[in-house]
Amino acid sequence: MRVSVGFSSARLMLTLMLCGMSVILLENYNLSANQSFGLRMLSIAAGVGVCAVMFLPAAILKKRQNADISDALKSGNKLKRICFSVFFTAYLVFAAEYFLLKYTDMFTKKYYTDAPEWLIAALLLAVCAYAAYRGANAVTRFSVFLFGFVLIVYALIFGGAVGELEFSGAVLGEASDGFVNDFLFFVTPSFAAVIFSLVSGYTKRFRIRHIFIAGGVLAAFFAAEELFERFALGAYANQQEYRFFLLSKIQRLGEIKGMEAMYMAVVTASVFCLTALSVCAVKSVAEVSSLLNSVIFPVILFVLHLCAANFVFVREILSSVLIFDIFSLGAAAAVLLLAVSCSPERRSHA
Amino acid sequence: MLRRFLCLALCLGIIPLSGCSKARHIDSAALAETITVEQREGSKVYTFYLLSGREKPWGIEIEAERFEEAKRLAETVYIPNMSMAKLKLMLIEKEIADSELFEDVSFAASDAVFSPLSYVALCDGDLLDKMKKQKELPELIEKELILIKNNNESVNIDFLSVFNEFARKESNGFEMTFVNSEKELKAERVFVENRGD
Repeated sequence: MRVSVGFSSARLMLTLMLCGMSVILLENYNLSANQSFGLRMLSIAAGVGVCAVMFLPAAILKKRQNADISDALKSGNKLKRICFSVFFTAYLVFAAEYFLLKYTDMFTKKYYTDAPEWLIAALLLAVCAYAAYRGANAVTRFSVFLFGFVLIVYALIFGGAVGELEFSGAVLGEASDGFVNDFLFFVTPSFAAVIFSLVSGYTKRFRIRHIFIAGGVLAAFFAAEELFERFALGAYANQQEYRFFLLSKIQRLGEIKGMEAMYMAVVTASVFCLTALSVCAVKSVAEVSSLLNSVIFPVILFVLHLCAANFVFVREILSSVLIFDIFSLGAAAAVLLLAVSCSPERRSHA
Repeated sequence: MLRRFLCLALCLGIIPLSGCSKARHIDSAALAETITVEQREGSKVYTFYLLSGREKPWGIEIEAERFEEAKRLAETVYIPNMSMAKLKLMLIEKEIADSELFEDVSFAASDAVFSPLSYVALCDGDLLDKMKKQKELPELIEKELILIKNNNESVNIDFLSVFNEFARKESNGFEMTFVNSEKELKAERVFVENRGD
């Protein structure tokens, strides 16, 4: 029986929920432009529902054995361990790079056009490397403060845009053939299930309902964003990239200005949490020293970012929703396989 | 000790990232606050009024076929690094509204630098002449626009609502404002026909 310092499972779920929000914060022409409102809501519910289901194998393992997939890997033979470790590492690097690319692209296009993308990526990755070195516990502690900040920012953005809501004569959308495309987009937060399955071993007081609460809040947030985008921005939303950024520019709250800067802060913090947690998850599957691992993977991410900046085909692969979803499905299947086939050593908390 | 040194180094390292090295005094900054579009001797003239501490309005006039071209010229040729992020008001001469309004609003909607809530209105030629002499006019016009909006919900006064009205294929037209300076400065409702394409 191994003894480790645990932290609250609810805190981990809160962090993963904030990471999941970056999916819609960085949305860039991935959704069907003229989808009907009802089907969009259905695709949100179906997508987030699938994400919640993907959590279940790791959640059951956690509930029954108080262990995670990293523990399950350690109980298997060496070849199996190496194969799965390589697969999970590749997946997590892909997931982190997917969001990092979108983030740096948005930062330079929308916020500060003079900034070089590589510099933004380097700065963010340096902070992530340090956070990952401190461990998942430190990252999730930060997310508690981030959650408070996020609540204030969303209240200001949505509250300030309420006056712009125009329901009469608003276009609800006509198309009904983009459901699969939208569903695939809203399945993207399932990367959180893989991260959970790799780092949840150290958490304590886990309840299955945490998954459904986090999923419910995420779906409500996606639905709110969709509502405001459709009825407050209208056709204007399709004119520019990164619609949530546009939403942050239309708030009218007296003299309060600069909501786009607050929005950028929220996106930065979400991408930071996501990248740092991915590196933490890599640390738990790849058995190399903590300091070395905390530096190696951010460096790999940075090199990949440079490749994506210079080669279009690399960028297209790394920012493809379809490839990401297929990869996520493979990772979820691997988690399921490991959860049912291995009997890990039970973990206890100090 | 090492930790303190690192903290100090980080704090000092932030200084060049703050952007202060590129800072310019507000008097020499080029922030466009108002843009006017008028027809003069057969060609279109875009005037970019800039934020300044001078008594008289200060602006640059650019002859161009399209708003996009005028903006590019203003930002590169005339005043490098001029910013449109603080644009508050765009006035278009009523006589050229049929050909200009949709094109200009569409361009503003597609460019991330413009705020969707910047005001847009039609006006008469006299007002554009007065704009060159009276610095306080844009502020008075904005007050008039807010007043007319408060009294008539259906009037569209900003890029966001005007663009969305153009995008409504089923409507014949919509209401926006015409700023009349004939006797006293006054905003009036005016019906604009939709393009139907």
